[in-house]
Amino acid sequence: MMRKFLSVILLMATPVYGGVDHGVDVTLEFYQRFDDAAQTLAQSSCQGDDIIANYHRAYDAWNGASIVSFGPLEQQGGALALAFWPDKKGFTTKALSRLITDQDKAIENGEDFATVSIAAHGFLALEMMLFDPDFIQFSEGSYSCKLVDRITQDIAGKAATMNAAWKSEFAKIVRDAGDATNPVYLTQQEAAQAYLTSLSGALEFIETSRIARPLGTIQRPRPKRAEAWRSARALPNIQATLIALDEMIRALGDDATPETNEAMAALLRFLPTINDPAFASVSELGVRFQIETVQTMVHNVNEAMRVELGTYLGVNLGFNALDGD
Amino acid sequence: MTNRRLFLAGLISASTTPRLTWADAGNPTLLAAAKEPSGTFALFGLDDNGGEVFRIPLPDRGHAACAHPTAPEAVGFARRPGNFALVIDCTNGDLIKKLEAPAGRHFYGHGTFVENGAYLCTTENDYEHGQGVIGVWSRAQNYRRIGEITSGGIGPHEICTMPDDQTLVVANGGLKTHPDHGREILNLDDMQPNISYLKRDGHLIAQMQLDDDFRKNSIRHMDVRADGLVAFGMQWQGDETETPPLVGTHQIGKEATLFDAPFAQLRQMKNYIGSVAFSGDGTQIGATSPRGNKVQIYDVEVGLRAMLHRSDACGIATDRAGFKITDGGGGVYTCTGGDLVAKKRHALAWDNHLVNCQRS
Repeated sequence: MMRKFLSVILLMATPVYGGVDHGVDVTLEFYQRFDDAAQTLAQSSCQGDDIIANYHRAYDAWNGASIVSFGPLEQQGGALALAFWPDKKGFTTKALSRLITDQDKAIENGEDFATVSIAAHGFLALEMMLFDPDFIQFSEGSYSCKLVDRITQDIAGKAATMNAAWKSEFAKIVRDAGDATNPVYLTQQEAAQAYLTSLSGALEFIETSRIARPLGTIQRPRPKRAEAWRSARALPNIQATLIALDEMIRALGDDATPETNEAMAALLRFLPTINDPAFASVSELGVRFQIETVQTMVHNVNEAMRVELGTYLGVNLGFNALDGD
Repeated sequence: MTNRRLFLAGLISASTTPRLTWADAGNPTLLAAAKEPSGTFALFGLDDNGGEVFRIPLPDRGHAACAHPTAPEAVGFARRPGNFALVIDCTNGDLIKKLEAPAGRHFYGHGTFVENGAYLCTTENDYEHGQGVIGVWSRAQNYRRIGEITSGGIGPHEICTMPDDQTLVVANGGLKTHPDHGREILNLDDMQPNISYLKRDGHLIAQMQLDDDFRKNSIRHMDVRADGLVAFGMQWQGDETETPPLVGTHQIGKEATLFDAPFAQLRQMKNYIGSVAFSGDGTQIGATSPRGNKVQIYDVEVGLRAMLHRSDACGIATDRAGFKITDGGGGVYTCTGGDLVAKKRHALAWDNHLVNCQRS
């Protein structure tokens, strides 16, 4: 009788556990990839083709890592610490201008740089230095060149810290969710819920910020509100994130998310038909319609994922987190 | 026709029957609403170990509750924008009275007793005029609504009783909403939250407004210490990339203190505090961030002391050892300031608030 009872429990628990376990495997890959790309970026000289190519590679890898927003990334202060956006008040421009004008010595080492506005850190600050006409005019050895080096080293430092934390500690914490001594997740469901919330948040960010902000209203489109438009990464960021989400959902859901996978596949097929990576032409109706279509498809993927993956993992989004007051 | 002798006998027995106390309801120390696995909702009385003392079904999702200071009566509030509040006899689960918001008003989900429990005061929205009001209900008249006063602002949320048992303190969150528009904020650009100290007759004793930089920091939840120090928690409605302080203290006649913290820590709170409480000894404030899955512990005199991880934690109340905390996974925890100790896990999702009952 006892044996029978145990086997029933195991049967019920196995898919959840397997799913999260596979999710951890993919998470480790994403953070390793981001770490590798960030180290290469930090070794680039402050100008030239190399740093541009390495910027794009590292940014792609960051989009992958960013979909797992709990744990080590949370300790860094979340995604804003690596990609300060949306920047409605132009904090990045202000922070970088101030550093350069003051020739602030805070950029000379990582510790002091940590006290500088978060808007001067991460990929959007780097983009400003590498692509904005007001910032790109600098020479080898100048203050701006050192600032670029500091920003890339800061990104690399954070990437290395997070990768090490996942490998040395956090992967085990997530895998062992529900163990009596687990310091973070008191049940397996809590770890599964962390994944579901994180993935759903990444999809929602695409829908409500990355797409909705540049779309603006039909009377007043806002192309300059697109994310990373200076380096024409508005669309590539969305694409890199969705590719990572696709891989993660398949890992977490084993084969139990057919509708989500299908909706995602259709979305990933549709993206390359858009010929405007910076979202510069959102005022053109044709382009606008395409981007709105992406928005709807992202929304539908999220809906399907919450149902299918939520059911498979046996969790919902947080009861209080979702509906507070 | 009423038999006069019977009527008199009834009166005599009523006056000689010993009054019921919280002991008759099993001596719960905490109250919380929850969603049950079947999808139904209920109000629970809990003991110090997080164990169930009583369970009373609710017709819909609850928000906060408040406990009468001496009689075993609890008021369970529907979540905003709610039209009902239930006064419940916690000895048997019977409904004493269903309080209905009058025409043009809805409840915000919080209330408090004053004057030794003689009056219940509830935060409400006068939505046609976009003004906050406090409904006053007389317990002696079977919870009849005897009037209302202005809350001193827009969007009053939590309301507490000051240590004199006469004065009300109200967190006017500043957000104008209308039931026709759900929870949509209608005045984001000119919102102005405050904390107002009021007498039951409507007399405004004092009011605290934060600097203009924090105008979009909606003050929503509070707790009061025995010396009248008010702890408050906020929800930032401004730019999502900003990380303003979210917890502070205020005492009448003084400037407010805000607890700032480094970017990475503030960021983990997701600009949202779900509930606040003082520790049993009054030296600490606990604040929950359910969206960040965090619980912050502040030293009143120093600032942020610890950030603890707890998935979907929102309810927090005072406990002798520090704090009691509940989460959306059914857990009840004791927090001693540095860490959390799980006391009990129920097959429930605890709702936003955990409130003290029979707090001495």
